[in-house]
Amino acid sequence: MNERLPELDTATVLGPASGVVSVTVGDEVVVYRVADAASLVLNSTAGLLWQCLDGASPLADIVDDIARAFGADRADVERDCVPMVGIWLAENLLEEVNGA
Amino acid sequence: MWPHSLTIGLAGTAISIGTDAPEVIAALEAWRIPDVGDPIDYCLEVRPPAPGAGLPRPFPGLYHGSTALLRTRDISRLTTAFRRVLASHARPAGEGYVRLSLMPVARHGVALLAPPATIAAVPDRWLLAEGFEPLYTVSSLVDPASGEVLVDAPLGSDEPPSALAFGGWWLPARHWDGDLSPGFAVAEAMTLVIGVTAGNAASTLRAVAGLVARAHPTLAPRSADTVKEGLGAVLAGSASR
Repeated sequence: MNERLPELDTATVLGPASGVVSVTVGDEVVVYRVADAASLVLNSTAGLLWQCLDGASPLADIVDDIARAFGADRADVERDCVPMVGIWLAENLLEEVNGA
Repeated sequence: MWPHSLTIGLAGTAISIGTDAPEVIAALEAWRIPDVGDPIDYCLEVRPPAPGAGLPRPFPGLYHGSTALLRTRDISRLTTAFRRVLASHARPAGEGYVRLSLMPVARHGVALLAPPATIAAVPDRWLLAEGFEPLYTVSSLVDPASGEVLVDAPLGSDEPPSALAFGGWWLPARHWDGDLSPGFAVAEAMTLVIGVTAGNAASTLRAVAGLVARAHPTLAPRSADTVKEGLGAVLAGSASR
């Protein structure tokens, strides 16, 4: 894993990187990266966040939606979600979507 | 060093074959290609050298690298297994199919897919005597939609592939024990899929998830005795299907 996570602007629109696919299995999401045949299994919470990263919505909107859906404090949701998204970005599981 | 060898090409894959049987080489001449750097290798020993006095005569065997896939005195079974192994390389999974690096063990038309090394730990004679039909190979083609295992016909044969019902699967034993969640089962099973590309990754992942939903895999037993018990347990009900 990269030691430094990329700076993340919550206005960024992110989607699965090229060669990264996922499937929902029960309450888990399996993310598969073709380049190195690596899989990542996400629990239901992380899986929900992954599924929201659809290449169309800015991260800020996704945080808003999750906070609203769970009746949670937005700042708490952002504090939980942004580092996770940063890790996925650093691991080349996500990529920025331009012109979304 | 084998007295006879050649490299063949099957569906873009280079396979190096070493053997003590010149007739094996002659039968594969049609697929010969020039030697390449890093081929997959198989060895077929039909006439193992006689051991010293008082020692048991070794069985003829089919080897993939240093792994014995099959040892048997039945040369016909051995060469059929060898040709089936080669055929598995000649038939990549098409759209909607998945090729897994597992071999079928069948009974009454139902197949359990298992790691070849797991099945190799159990004597072939015992398997046959118990009514199991081990189809020695290095990979199996599965149709997730129909739930069928499509057994490759031996290379050079005109036979169509035969179909067995997909009855379950064992994944290679790892350094941990215990149950796999469905998600981890899919992740583990993906390591066994041959020929995943950017173009087919999404459909392959869905297909593997479908297979996990159809029959949840377990980790393969580690000893010959537990393999025997496990085969009996998994395929016990197949007679009534």
